[in-house]
Amino acid sequence: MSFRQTTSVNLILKGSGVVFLLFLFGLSSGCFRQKEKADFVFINGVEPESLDPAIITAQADGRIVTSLFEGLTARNEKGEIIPGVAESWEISPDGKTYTFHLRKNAKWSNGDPVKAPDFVYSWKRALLPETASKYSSQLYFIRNAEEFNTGKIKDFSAVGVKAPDDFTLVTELKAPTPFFLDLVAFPTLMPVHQATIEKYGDDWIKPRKMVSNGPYQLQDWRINDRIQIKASPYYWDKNNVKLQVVDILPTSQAGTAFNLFYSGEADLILDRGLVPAMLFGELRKTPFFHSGPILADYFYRFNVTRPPYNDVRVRKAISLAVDKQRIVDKITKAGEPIAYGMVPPGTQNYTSLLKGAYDPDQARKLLAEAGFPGGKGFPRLRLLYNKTELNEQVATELQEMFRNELGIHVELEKQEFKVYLSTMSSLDYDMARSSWIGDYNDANTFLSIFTSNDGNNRTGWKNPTFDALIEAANQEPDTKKREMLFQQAEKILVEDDAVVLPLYYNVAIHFFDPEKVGGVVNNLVDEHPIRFMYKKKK
Amino acid sequence: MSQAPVTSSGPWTLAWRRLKRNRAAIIGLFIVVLMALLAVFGPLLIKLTYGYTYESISGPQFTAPCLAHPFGTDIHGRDLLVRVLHGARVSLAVGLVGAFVSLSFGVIYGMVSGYSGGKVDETMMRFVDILYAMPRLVFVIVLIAALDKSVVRLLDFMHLSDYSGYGRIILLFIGLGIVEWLTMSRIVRGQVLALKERQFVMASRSLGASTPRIIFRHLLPNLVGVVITYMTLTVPVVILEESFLSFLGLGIQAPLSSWGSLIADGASVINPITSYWWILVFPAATMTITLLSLNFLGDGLRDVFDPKSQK
Amino acid sequence: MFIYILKRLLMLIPILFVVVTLTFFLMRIAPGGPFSAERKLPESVEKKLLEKYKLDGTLWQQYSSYLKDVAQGDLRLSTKYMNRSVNEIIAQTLPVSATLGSIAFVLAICFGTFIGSLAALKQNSWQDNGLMLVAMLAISIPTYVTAPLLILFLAVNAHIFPVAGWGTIQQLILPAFCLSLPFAAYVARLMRTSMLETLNQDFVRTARSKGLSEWKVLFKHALKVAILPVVSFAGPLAANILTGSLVVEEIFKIPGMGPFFVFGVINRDLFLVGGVVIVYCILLVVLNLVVDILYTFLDRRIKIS
Repeated sequence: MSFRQTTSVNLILKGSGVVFLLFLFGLSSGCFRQKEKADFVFINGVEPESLDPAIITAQADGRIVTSLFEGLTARNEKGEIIPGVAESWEISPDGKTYTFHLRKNAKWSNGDPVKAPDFVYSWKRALLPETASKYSSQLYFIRNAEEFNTGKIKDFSAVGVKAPDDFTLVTELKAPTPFFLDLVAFPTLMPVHQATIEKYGDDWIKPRKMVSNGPYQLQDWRINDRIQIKASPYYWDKNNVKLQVVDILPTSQAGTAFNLFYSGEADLILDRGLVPAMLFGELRKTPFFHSGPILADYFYRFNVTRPPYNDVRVRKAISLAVDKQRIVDKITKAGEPIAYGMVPPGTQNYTSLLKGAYDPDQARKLLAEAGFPGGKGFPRLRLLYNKTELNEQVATELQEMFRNELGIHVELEKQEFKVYLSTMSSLDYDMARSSWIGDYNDANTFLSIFTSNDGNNRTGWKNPTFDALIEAANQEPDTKKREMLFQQAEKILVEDDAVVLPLYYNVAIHFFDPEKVGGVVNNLVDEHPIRFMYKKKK
Repeated sequence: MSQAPVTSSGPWTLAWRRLKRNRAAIIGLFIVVLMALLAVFGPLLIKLTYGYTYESISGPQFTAPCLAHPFGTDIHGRDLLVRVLHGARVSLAVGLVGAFVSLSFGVIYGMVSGYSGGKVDETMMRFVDILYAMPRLVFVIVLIAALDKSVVRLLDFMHLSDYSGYGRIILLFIGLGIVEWLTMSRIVRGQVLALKERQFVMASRSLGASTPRIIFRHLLPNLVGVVITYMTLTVPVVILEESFLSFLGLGIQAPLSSWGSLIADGASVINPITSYWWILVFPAATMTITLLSLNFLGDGLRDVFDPKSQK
Repeated sequence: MFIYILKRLLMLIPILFVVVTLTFFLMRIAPGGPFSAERKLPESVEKKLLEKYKLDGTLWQQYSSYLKDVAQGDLRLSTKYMNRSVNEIIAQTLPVSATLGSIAFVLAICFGTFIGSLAALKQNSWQDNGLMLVAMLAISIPTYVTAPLLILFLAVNAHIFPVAGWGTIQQLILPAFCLSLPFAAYVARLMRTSMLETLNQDFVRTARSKGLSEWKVLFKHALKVAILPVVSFAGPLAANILTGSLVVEEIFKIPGMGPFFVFGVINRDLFLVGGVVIVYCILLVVLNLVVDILYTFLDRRIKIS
C-alpha cells in the first residue's frame, strides 16, 4: 500500500473510531432521550431495590414510593397522619372495624379514577405468597391476612377487607389497633394499578409504563444515575405541590454526596450515612445541619441460651457498667438521647417508665455474686456487629468500659452485614449489636419483636408472662390500660430479665440550606414527603 | 571493546557489581532495607519512648503533627506515626508473603510445564491462559466473602482465637498470591525452556542425571536471579492490590492497619471544609517512597539478571 | 486466519464454564444469602422468593438450571434490584463503562506513548528522570486518592469541572483522566524501554544519517517498531482499566458496571455477579484477540518494510 493509501485508511479508521465512541457515549448518557432540568435535586441514599410499593423494604425506597403513590391516609411534612385517598373514615366502638370514604377526585396518572376495589386488589396482591412481599406482616393486623399470606387460607374473601361500593372500603381487624391509620399510610398498603400490572408484569414499575396515584409520576429511572419524578397533573391536591421536576440521586459515597451539596449541584441530603461522620463536629456549627430524634433505637442483644449470659445477674452487671452518656457525647455526637428502655420518647400513647442507671459498683457486686469476682474466670466476651465505622467505634468504647469496670476481656467480632445477620439468627454470638426502626408509631412495634416466637427475637429468650402482656395489650381497646400493659412488658424485658442493653435512640440528620429549601421538618417517623417541599425565593 | 578483567569472582559478585552501578537501584535497596528495619523495630521503639501502640487511644482526635505526635492523630486519637510503622509491618508482610506464595506456585508450575514440554506444557499453559482471562480481583473479593468466617472458625479451633484479627491477613496472603502466580509461572517457564536447550543441561542429561538432580542443581540456581527480580516487582503490586481492597472495606480490618487502610482512611477525610492533611499525606508518602524504591530496585535487578535486557 | 479467530473464540467456552462454576459455588458457599435482612421474612414468603429466583432445590439443581439458562443467554434476575433482569442491567450499564474505559484507554496509550518516547529521546536527562519519576508516582498513588483530590481542587473549589455524574462532555473529562493516569504511566515506562532499544537499531541510524530531524526519526520510523510491546500490553491494559473503573465510577457517580463487581458480592446478588463476570471475560478474550491480530499485522508490515 502506498503512503497516501495508508494515511487515508488510518484516517478512516480513526474517524470511525471517534464516531463509534460518540455513539457509545450518547447511548450511555441517555442523550438520545430528552432530559429535563430539575427544580430540585436531592440525595436519597443508595439505588432503590424497586419502586413497587408492595415489595420494598428500605426507607430510601419508601421516600420515592411515597411521592409516586398515595394510600388511604398520608403524612404531612411534620409526619402527622392526614387524609390521603380517603377523605374521611369511621372507627367502630370496639376499634376493630374501619370504614374509609374515598374522595371522588382521586385519579391515577393515566386519568383513571382511584376506586375502592383497587385497594382490595392491591392488598390481596401484597398478601399473595407469589408476590413475595417482604413487608406483608404490616397487613397481619387485618383479620385472616396472616393466614392468607402463609397459605393456610386460600380464599381471599375470608380476609377482612371489602369494597361495598366504588368509594367505600371496610376493613375488619383482628384486634383493636390504634395505629391502623399509620399502617394504611405505609407503602405496602398503597394501591397499585391492576391493568398496568396485568399488562406489563414485573416491568410495570419502569418509566413510561408505571401508572401511579400520587403527587408525582415516574419520568426517568437510570440505575445508579438518577430517578426523575414529575408532578402529576391528575393528583387531587396538585395545586399545593410546589416542586414540579425533582431529581433523586443515588450514591453510596459520603464524600460524593457532600461534594455535590457543597458545589450546589444538590439541594438536600436525607440519608444520615451520607453525611461524613468525622465532620459532624464541624458541620454542626453550620446552618445546614439539622437533626432530630426518630423512632428507632440502638441496642445490644444478649444470647440468653449461652452461658454465662444465661445468668440474669451477669446480664444486669454488664448493663450497669455502660456509661451511655459517654458514647453519645464522644462517638455519635448528633445529640442522641440515651436509652433506658426500648420504646423511644415521643411514641404515640406511650411513655416509658424505665430509669436505668450507670452504676459500676453495683455491676461489680452482681458479677461477683454470679461467680466472677473482678471478672476472674469470665470467658472472653465477643461483641458481634456489622462492620460500619459507627458500630466499630461504639463497640471499641464498650470494650474499654467492660475491661476497666468489670475486668472482662472483650473481643470485637465484626462481620459483613449478611454474615452478621445469619450469625445472629443462628444464635452464634455472645452479645450482638442491633437496631430497630419502628414500622409504625406505637410501642407494639418495639416490644412485640421479643415475644417467644417472633422471628425477629434472635435472643433465645422465651418468657410466657411477657408474651401474655403483649397479647393482652394488643386486645385492649382502652389506651391507658394498654399503655400500662406495655410498660409492664418493657420492664420485664429490659430491667427484670435484662435481655437487651439499650444504648441510645437514633437521630436523623438532614442537610440543607434553610435559606433555600423549605418543607423539610424533623419528625419522629422520619417521613419527608417531597410534595410538601419547596424552594425559597431570594 | 576493552578486555574484561580476568578475575575469579563468581556470578553473584559480578551481579552485585553491575547492580551497584545503577544509582537508583542502590538508593532503592537502601530505603527498602531501612523501611524493613523500621517496620520490625519501629513500633517497639515508639512504645518504649512514647508509650503508644497502634491501637491505644493516646491523644485527642485529629491533632495536627506536633512534638508529642510527629505524624498527628487520627479520628480516634491514635498516634499516626506508630500506626504507619505498624502499617509498614502489615503491608510489607502481606507483600512479601503474597509474592512468596505467588512465587511458590509460579515457580513449581512453570518449571514443571517448561521442563516437560510438548503436550503437557501446552495444556498447562492453556490453563494459565484461561485463568488469565478471569477478573482475578473479583475472585479475591468473592474468596474473602466466602472464607472469612471459616478462617476465624479455624483459628478458634486451633486455639489461636487471640489472633482472629489476623484471619483476614491470612486470606489476603493466599488470595493475592493466587492472583499473581500466573505471571511468575509464565516467566519461569520461558526461562526453563531456554535453559533446557543449554549445553550444560544437555550434557548432564546425556550423562544420565535424574530429573530432580537436573532441576535442583542446574535449573534452580539459574532461575534465582529472575525469580528475585520478579518477586521484588510483585511486592509493590500486591501492596497496591491490598490497598485497593482496603478502599472497598475488604482489606485489613481495624484496629490493625496497613498502609492501604491508612490511605483509605486518609482519602475519606478529603473534604472542602476542614483539612486533616496529615492523615493522608504521611501514610501515602511512606507507601509511595517504599513502592518507588522497590520498583527501582526491581528494575535494577532486571537489568542485571534478565537475559533479554543483556546486550 | 479465520480458523485462528474461531479457535481463539472457542476458548471462550471452557473459560466461561470455569468462571460461571467458580462464581456460582463460591457465592453459594459464602455465609449469608441474598434475602437475609434485618427484618425476618415469613417462611411462606421466603419459600416463594427462593422459587422465583430458582434458588430452591439442591445446590446441584440450582447450579445446573443456572448453567442451562446462561447457555441460552438468560442471565436471570438480580436479587437486589428486584424486577430487573441482569441482561437489562448490563445493557444499561455496559455502554457507560465501555465509553469511560475506551476514552481512558485512548488517553493512556496516547499520553503514555508520547511521554515514554520523549523520555527515551532525552535519555538520562533531567526531563527523562523527571518524567519517569512522575510516572512512578502515578502508579504508586491509588486512584481513590487522586480522584478525591482532583475533585476537591478542580471541581469543588475551582468550579472548572462538575463534581460528579454522567451525561455531559464536561463530566467525562476528570473521571477519564483519573482512570487513565496509572495506565498511562505503565505505558510510558514500557514505551521508554522499548524506544531505547529501537533507537539503537540499524535502521534508525540509517534514518538519522539521512539527515532527518529527531522528531521525524521518532515518529515516522522508530515508533512503528517500538510500539509493539505496548500493543501486546493493550490486552491486559483494557482488562485492568475495566477493574479500575470501579473506583472511578463510585467516586464520580458514574452509572457503569464497575460497582456491581463488589457490591454484587456484598449483597450476595449472585446472578448479577455472574453476569458481570461473564461479560468481563468475553470482553477480555475478544480484546486480546483483536490485539494479537493487530500485533501480527503490524509485525508483518514492519518486516516487509
